[in-house]
Amino acid sequence: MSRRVAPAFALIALLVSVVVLGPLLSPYAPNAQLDIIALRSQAPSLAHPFGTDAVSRDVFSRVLDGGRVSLALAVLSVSLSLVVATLYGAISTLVGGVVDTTMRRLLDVALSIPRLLVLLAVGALWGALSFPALVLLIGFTGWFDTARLVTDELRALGTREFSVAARAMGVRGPRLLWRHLLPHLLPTLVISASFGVARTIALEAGLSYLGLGIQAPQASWGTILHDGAGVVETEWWLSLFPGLATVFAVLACNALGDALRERFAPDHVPTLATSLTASSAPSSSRTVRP
Amino acid sequence: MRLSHTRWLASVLCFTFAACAGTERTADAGATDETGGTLIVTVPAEPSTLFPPLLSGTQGAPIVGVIFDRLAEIGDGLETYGDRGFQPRLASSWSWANDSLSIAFALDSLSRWHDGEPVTAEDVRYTFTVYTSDSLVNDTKPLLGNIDSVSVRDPHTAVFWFKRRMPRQFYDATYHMYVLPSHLLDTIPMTKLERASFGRNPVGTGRFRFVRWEPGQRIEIIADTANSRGRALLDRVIWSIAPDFGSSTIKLFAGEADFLEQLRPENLAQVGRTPSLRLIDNRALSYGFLGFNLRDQKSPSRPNAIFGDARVRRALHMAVDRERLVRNVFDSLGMVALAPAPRALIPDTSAFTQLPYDVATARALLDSAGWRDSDGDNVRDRDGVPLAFDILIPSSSTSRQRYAVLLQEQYRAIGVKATPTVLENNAWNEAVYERHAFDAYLGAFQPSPGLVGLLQTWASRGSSNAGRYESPAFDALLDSALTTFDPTTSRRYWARAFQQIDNDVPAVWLYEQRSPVAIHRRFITTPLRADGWFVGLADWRVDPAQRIDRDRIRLGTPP
Amino acid sequence: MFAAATLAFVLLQLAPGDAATALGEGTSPELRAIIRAQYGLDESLATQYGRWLWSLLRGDLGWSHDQHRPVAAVIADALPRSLFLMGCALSVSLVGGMLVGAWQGARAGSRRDRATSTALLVLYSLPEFWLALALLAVFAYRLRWLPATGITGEMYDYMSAREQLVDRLRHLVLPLTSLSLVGLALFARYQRDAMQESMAQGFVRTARAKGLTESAVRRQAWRSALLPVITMTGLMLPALITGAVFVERVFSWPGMGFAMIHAIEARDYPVVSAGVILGSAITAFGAALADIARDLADPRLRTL
Repeated sequence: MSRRVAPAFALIALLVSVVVLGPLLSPYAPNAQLDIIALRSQAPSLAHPFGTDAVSRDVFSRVLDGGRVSLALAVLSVSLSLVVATLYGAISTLVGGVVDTTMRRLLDVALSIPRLLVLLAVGALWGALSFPALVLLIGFTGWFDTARLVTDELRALGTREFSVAARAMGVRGPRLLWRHLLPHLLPTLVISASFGVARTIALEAGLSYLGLGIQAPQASWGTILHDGAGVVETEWWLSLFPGLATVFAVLACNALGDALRERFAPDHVPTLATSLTASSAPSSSRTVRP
Repeated sequence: MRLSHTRWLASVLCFTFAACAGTERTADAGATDETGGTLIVTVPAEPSTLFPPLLSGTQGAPIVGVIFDRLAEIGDGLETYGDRGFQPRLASSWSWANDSLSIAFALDSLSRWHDGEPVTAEDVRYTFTVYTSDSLVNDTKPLLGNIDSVSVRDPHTAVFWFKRRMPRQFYDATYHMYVLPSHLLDTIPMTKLERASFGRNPVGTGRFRFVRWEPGQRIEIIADTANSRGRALLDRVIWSIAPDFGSSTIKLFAGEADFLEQLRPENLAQVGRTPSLRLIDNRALSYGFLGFNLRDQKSPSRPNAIFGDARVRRALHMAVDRERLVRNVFDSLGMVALAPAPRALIPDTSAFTQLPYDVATARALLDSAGWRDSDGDNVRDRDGVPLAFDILIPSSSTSRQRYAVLLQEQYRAIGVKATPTVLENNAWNEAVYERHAFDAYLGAFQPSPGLVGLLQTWASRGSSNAGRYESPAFDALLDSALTTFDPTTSRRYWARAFQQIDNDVPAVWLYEQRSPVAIHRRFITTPLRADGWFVGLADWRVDPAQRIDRDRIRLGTPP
Repeated sequence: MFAAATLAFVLLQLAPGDAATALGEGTSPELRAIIRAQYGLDESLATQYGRWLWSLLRGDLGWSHDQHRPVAAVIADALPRSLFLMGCALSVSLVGGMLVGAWQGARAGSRRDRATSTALLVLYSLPEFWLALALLAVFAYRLRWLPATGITGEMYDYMSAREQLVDRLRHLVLPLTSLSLVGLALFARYQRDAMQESMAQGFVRTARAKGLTESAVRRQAWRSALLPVITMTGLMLPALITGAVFVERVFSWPGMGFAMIHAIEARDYPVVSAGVILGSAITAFGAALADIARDLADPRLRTL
């Protein structure tokens, strides 16, 4: 089991260090136009390992810089999603009764709206969204499935011995949540976060590729792909390297999620975002781990 | 399970091989060497309609242009004085009244609509009512303002009556309208015309006729063999829709498509390396510029704090190495724009002078205008206001986005902070043309022959004059240029008008795109006209020695 | 669904620009005013909403300003194509995923299993549109084996029936692969874990003790591992829709995603609203299907 954890952590560590150390590692400023005639659209070489783009910017530097933007966007928006989801789930479960049912129904409605279409619509209609606006947009459209998870988890946890005991001792509301339930909730949240970050990185890449996410001249993996869209065959370096970087980052996050899930939540049947419903309890009784 | 997989795979492969072998069967049935051939054009979007008056944007223009005819076709020189250079089309001849306030067009009695009905003068009269109708949304109506009415003298003669004598009379009467079949349309009320199925199934008089439209996929036209002016030489032309530009280029280079119009500069090298393709240079009628907002955004009655000063504008013009920028973005396929008109439409480009590229003078001008860097942040300022502005760009234009990034660098070198801001097309349109909520923007126009459009784009009360440039001198010169009958005098007025606007610098004229097209070598084309590559499409043909499979599918092969 | 539609309507109205500005740079203000008056865009928001809702309830999906034909026609063209592609992709993902996952799960812990797991993880991490682009570049351009765009070739109408079938298949390969590979990885992972659990169950030991061959044992285990995977199918739909949008664009497959992007750019409200309604309908349908399937499939759950 620990076989999964070590390589996953290694990947993540590599990713984080590359991104954090980015400015130190990149040979040029990401937006510097080195020589708009002579160094335009150069294939990869020793001087420019990932080549240059159409306005003679070094692609390697841009990929590093773009990594920071893409990852920051993903982490921030997923964090936002988690906070909102946890609050929503907590309120729903703790208040209980009609409110709980209504909130869960609302969640169902929200889950049925195709997220990408909304994002496309907003991105297309409003055009250049600033970075904070993007974080908010992606964060606020992405918390529904995590909220579902949280409500289900909390419900399941609520029947466990320790919470029954806590409630018998008189612990109520927020204190119950914070001290007793949250620690048990944490693994699920972290796993959800890992997969969420992976999905968001891919989502940002896709949106920016369509021209609807991060805007030029800011580098992000999606915008570099966008720049290279018309010349996939000839200037392949513009499509290959940011793509590989995206795959690598997504892979690292997914691996982490897998590893964590293996370690912390072996009872659960592998979750897709919307998979867990009331059946999570009985399924745990089915498994017999050697 | 595995065994059946293999069998399934094997049978699919067999299918494929058998099918490949089968394509050789279509034989040439009585074809001449001159005719035949299939041209496949790849385009990024499908037109919204093929009804000529509703045509907006460039997507449907080539298809409409070859299915329908005008009364007379403008000459290759794109001259608009009188009827010089115009060639007969649906009208076989015309005569001017003595007072020049009316022109009588005699229609070719052999012309037929694609459904077999003869073309009559009633069609011409009906076309005029449609194009000038209030119920239809079309932007050619203002251009027909000088035509008072069209009357029918006899079934083959239509008379145009004008309000004033103008050099462009003939051009006005013929260029903007494609003749429509009244026998198919006049029973439909004007307000319902937009919804008529004619827009998806057009019937015209051109040497090509419409065949089918697979929504989202392709539009096909074939040669009209019964046409009075002779059938088109090609058998068919298919417009194949591929919105993703990468897929478009791949189709071209993979041989699935023969023709791509919107080449980007980065594809040129690739075309050069592909032996089956060649580039045709095409002077497009477009120009791009960096426009300044001459008024204050918040209170439009006051001049703009930065751009209101002519010295600043001149400095911003001189700080830009326009040649180098053009070379980066368009390689050898762009030219520096000299004026708010493409060179093809400027009578004499040497008759007025440009501001030079001179960074030192630019800096000096900014200094003398009071903009200096007082706080050491490398950005000039004056009274606490930095010399910084946004440049608005529409998301659809990669060249303009590239330009914005390049301009940003050029201006950084003289202490000016320009920030490119990309807006989605609609949002950009609204910000620039409706709300005038911008500092600077990268715009592009496509003027028509005759340059009447300048009244809209740069004259004082022009509706597309986003930066609100107002110069009575320019207005007067423009008016004179447009209304003088004598070409020589007119040319002098044009020169002075262009000099005036060049001195005033309401915008930096950046580029004029030569719009090269990539086409398969087997096609022998006519010279491309600047206002539309498709104008001579009916006379294009395929070199018999280089025919490929799809050229051999002749007309009349059952689908 | 209703909420989704309203959301779409509101969103579009709030956005800058409308159908009039969508016509482009060169149009004059007078022209824009005429368009607005004609389509009722200058009326109040409430009026427009009311009018739209009323016609919706009567089954009239409206008129597409941009395409000059009824929205129903636009959808009738686009939807079957999307459904066809998504359906095929789902089938391929499901079948492929189940096979791979079952094979893996039966050998859980072995080197082959781990290698496959890693491969699947990589596959799962590929962004769909990038995969589409890469496939396009390699197969359509470099190798010239497959066509680049469209559902059918340009000369389709002139081909014999057999050639037409082949043509359709050839055009289907790349979009299908792009869309189904990621789904395949997903199903495979899921199936693998389910299979692994199943193999560890008591009845497997019994079967082995009874002397059944290993492959017969595996087949038994697989049957009980099928259920969780099948229930997942319904929930895959939103992900499919998402993937389909990108893939449709890259391969010019004129389905709903394609139509939606175009409609958004042209501010074609009726089409966008219809699309969002359909999207949420499909998602809701998928979720309901998954619920039903789960209830039917696992009798153990019924006792709860």
